[in-house]
Amino acid sequence: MPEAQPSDEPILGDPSALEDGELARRIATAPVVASDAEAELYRRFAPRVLLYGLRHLRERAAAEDLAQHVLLLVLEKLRAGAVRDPERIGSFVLGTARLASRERQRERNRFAAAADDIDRALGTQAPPPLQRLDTGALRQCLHALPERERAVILTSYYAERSASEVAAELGLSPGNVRVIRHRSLRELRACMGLEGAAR
Amino acid sequence: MSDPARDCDPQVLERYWLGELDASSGESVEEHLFSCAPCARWLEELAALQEGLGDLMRAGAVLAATTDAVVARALEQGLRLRTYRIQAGGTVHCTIAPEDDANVVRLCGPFSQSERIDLQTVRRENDEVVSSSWSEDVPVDRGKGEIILLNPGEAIRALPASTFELEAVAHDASGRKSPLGRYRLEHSPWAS
Repeated sequence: MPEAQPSDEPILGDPSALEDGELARRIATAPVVASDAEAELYRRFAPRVLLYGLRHLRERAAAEDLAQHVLLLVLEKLRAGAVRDPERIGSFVLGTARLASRERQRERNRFAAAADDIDRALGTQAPPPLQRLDTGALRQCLHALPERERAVILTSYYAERSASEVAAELGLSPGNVRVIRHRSLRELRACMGLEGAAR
Repeated sequence: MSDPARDCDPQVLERYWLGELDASSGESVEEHLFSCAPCARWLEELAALQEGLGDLMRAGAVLAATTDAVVARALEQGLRLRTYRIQAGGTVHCTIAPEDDANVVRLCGPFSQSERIDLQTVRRENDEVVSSSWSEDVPVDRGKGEIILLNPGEAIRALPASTFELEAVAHDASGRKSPLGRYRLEHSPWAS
């Protein structure tokens, strides 16, 4: 009889250790609602949908609402066994976000002010907020940047100008702006002690 | 098949976030983000940095030689900016009101041809030098030929009556320096 080997399976009851696909399968195949697995899925993907919403809807409240709405839809589909390929749950979440975002943009165009009021009135659970940085530390780190780098960072990320637009204002080439921007961002991230600062 | 080494490229994520990618590339990045937790985390931190910069600007807490785009965005967001424009050799009398978030000083001069401009700032109280500093390689708004200085409201409100003397100096490729202009600001605390 072969010797029993240590299991490679994560400990049951610890959804945070599961890969995305396994997490989705657990939710889809659970005989009862798998609350821990669903909460973990929400924790992992709601911030990404929030980022997607910020990028496309350009408005915090709308992005938060999108994240909440999309994750609820995804969880419903998983429970109903309607996600064909749980291994590609990330793509499924993104696809749902795209459809929901387009629908929201169409709704907003039709019902501008009324849509905002209705969304706020629903008052259901917001997605986990994006992390808030220590603004005192950020101020020090920003002021530690050389003048040109500080100008590029503020014009890019506060004024939301592209590299070409920043280049035109500062008499640089767009390529040069992208190099300065990337370098400055790396310095800022390192100063703030953010993960991935060394990348 | 996607290439993780290429996909996990922070410069691509920066360009995505700023809308610099075409639609197809943007969609590829989004596909990647929804399958890569480290990249999603990296982008979350970038979004947090962006929000943090907005918080600092709204608090009137940023000191910077900056661009017209930053000033325009601040005004769009309702910040109160007190603006002074000074020609080379000129003097302005300035102050800052309790409700002002920041002040903007626009130095006008023959800046367009210089590759690098340094700016010396000397502050005097009662004719005594209190501080002196150099800012190297300050950005210049080439279109307007201006150096645009953004000063935090709180810091200026804390100042007693002072004279600021600024001098812009150009460096050429051989390291030679040549003065481009002197500017004087006579600051008085707000008189209520």
